[in-house]
Amino acid sequence: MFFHSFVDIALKLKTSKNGGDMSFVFDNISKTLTKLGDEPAKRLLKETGIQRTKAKGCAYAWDLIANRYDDIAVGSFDRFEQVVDGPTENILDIVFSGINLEVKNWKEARSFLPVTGSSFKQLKAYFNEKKPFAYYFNRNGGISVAEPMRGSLKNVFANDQAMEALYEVNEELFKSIPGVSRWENVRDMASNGSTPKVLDDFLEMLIKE
Amino acid sequence: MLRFKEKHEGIIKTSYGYDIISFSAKNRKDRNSSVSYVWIENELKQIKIGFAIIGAVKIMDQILVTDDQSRLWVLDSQLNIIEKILPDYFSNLPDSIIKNFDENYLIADKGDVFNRDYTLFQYNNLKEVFRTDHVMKGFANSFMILEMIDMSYSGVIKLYNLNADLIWEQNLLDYIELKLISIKEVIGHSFVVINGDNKSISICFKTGELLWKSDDYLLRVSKSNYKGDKFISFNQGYVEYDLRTGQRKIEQDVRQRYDDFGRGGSPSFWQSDEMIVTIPGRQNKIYFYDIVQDEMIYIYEEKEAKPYLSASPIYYHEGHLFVKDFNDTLFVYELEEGLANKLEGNKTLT
Repeated sequence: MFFHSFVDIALKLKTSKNGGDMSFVFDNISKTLTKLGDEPAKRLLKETGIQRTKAKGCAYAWDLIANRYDDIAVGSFDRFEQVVDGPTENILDIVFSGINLEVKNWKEARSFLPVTGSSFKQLKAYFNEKKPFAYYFNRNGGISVAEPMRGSLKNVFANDQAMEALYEVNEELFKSIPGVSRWENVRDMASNGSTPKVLDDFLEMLIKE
Repeated sequence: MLRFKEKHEGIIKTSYGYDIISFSAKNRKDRNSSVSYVWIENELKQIKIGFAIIGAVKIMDQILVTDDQSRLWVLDSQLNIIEKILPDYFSNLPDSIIKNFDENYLIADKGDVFNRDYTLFQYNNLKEVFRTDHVMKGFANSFMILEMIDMSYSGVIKLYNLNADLIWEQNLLDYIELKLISIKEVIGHSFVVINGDNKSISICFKTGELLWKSDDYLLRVSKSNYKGDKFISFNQGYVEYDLRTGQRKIEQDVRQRYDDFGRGGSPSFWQSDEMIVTIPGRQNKIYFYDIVQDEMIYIYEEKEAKPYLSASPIYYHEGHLFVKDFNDTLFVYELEEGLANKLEGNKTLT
């Protein structure tokens, strides 16, 4: 059962030019073992096997770990975990000692709003943890989902209620943006016709692909 | 060892600095009915003064506070409003106050994010000392100007004493990319600049010289004590840095021995010379780590926290511990004497 699930998922690793090729699958297993060591690699493979309904999200997480470990890791690998709060569709949380990564394999961009919705609650929970975090969005059919998701996050920052709520739980993070000392500063940047580069930098730090 | 004392819901902002601790429950629909709590005479006093207190500092027998719109108000020792000051300015307490032996100074700004002036005032007479249209940051005995061009840091920084005499000028771009930075003060010694890529540099206060460069990601969650002789972190164990080199000189890994604790580490902690108090991610446990014994001497579980305790704030003040959960509930605990004694003396900056 585990092996079948695992192969199902492995074959969904279409993000690579060799997607679906079994040699690529086994290459990823080898790389994962090398990067994480035996026990964490087994946990990832087991998680992948269990998460049949989340196959694509897991596949993307696996691809990141196997092929882009040095890009995504901050500190040592700690564990895989399900979400802090909110929706569980196609997600897998990769926890490093220095950063938490939220991995999503969505077909297209979605909104983080409204503030009463589960997507915003999850976003707020990440801010509330105070630990550095980033969302990773898979490119879908070669088309960037991360780019429009940065727009979605900018819409959150332009919304008074949402922006104030995020600033309240982690103002230190926002204060890393040059010139920001109040939540209204971020709102004003996000509402401005042309986005200041410093806000673009911030959005790129939080949403990657 | 830890006794639950009280809890308060809806606490959205906490402030700790210069001997005063405050919490506010802002009423978003009716600002005037917002409630604040200030720790005075060994109890958390509830006050309603028409706004939520966002930041507070104690100056002589008065309390200077900022409201939820970053405006400045002076209160008496019984928390009654005396006056609003600098009505055209915004300020961020407690960070914007510089407490000196002879004189206190206040940094305030006016304008919006696209066009803003910062001013350093002498607090007692609100006399203007220095004004700039770049970013101003205060330290213990000095202030710094970070030059801005097109809403980004140019790299040029200038350090001044509190008489506004230039001490030195430096271009940080020679050492580090200034994208999304935070600056941490090691009082009287140096300051550490950390950017969004987890690169860090340390600059000497006295000379402006580069002391070291580092790629150590843990520096992001490190902080100095009030004496300025230690720079430490506590992510998955106790780490103390050599101030001259930026290298880890003490490293005590706790994770291996306390599996629950080590899962993801903690980005925040409270520290005295003897002990660290911390809450790791996604848990409801408060850990008390004895630095000398190198072990957790007490672990407290808060079963009422929803869904988890937040890593910060975590404040110790006058025998009490203050923490919050993700649901904005503040928990106040009384510490028994032995534990409280270990948390007194030479605390870290918040």
